Amino acid sequence: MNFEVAFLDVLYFSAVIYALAFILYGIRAIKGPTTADIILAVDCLSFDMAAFMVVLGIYFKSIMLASGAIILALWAFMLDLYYTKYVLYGEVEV
Amino acid sequence: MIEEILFVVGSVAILLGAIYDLIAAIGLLRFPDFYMRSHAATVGTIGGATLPVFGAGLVALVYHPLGSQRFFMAGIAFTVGVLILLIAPTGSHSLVSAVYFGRIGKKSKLVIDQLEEDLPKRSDVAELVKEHEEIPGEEEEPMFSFRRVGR
Repeated sequence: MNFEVAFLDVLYFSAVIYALAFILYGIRAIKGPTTADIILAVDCLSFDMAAFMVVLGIYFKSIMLASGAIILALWAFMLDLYYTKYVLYGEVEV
Repeated sequence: MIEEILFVVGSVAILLGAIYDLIAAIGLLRFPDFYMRSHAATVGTIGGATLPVFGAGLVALVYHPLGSQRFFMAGIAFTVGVLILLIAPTGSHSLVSAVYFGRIGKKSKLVIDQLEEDLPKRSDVAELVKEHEEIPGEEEEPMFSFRRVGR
């Protein structure tokens, strides 16, 4: 079983579906009625982009591409916490 | 033999995660309400991000074109998976609590809302403020003053 050829097929299917999902998330992020909807959509977008970056890093044989996924996931978490603190307490403590 | 099994399991996890992601995106676009949308978003983060990352880690363990870097790649993948597994529910919970307690947007039609009965109402807060309010004119007269006594 040739892993490189088989993984290319997996990447073809998953990349098409991921791209479609990214477009749908982007539509919700643009037209969301409140700020919370936008932040929820951007949150999902960043987590899924982190997952897709790891898959792409395996295909391109590059560790540097995959290590950015950690920072992307932590950034999405930061966005949630800052929004919550700003709404409930009126200020963002560091 | 074990390498083929790991590769197939990882590939199935990646494909299944992509399908979960598409379902979550459709749900996020079509649901009418913020709380329903948060339900779709949690499907998208756990099913659509954690599952394919663990699958990619399994694939990277047996993916020989990476050379000896494949163990680093698997380590990064499992780290990201555990991180998203811890972070995504926490972030969603804090966001939903901010929307509920901060009363952002239009209040949706809920069948039953038991949390609202426990929250303090506006009249209760007004009573509490009135109890602790200082009433002017009730202060004690000073025992000693420099005011002259009238003759």
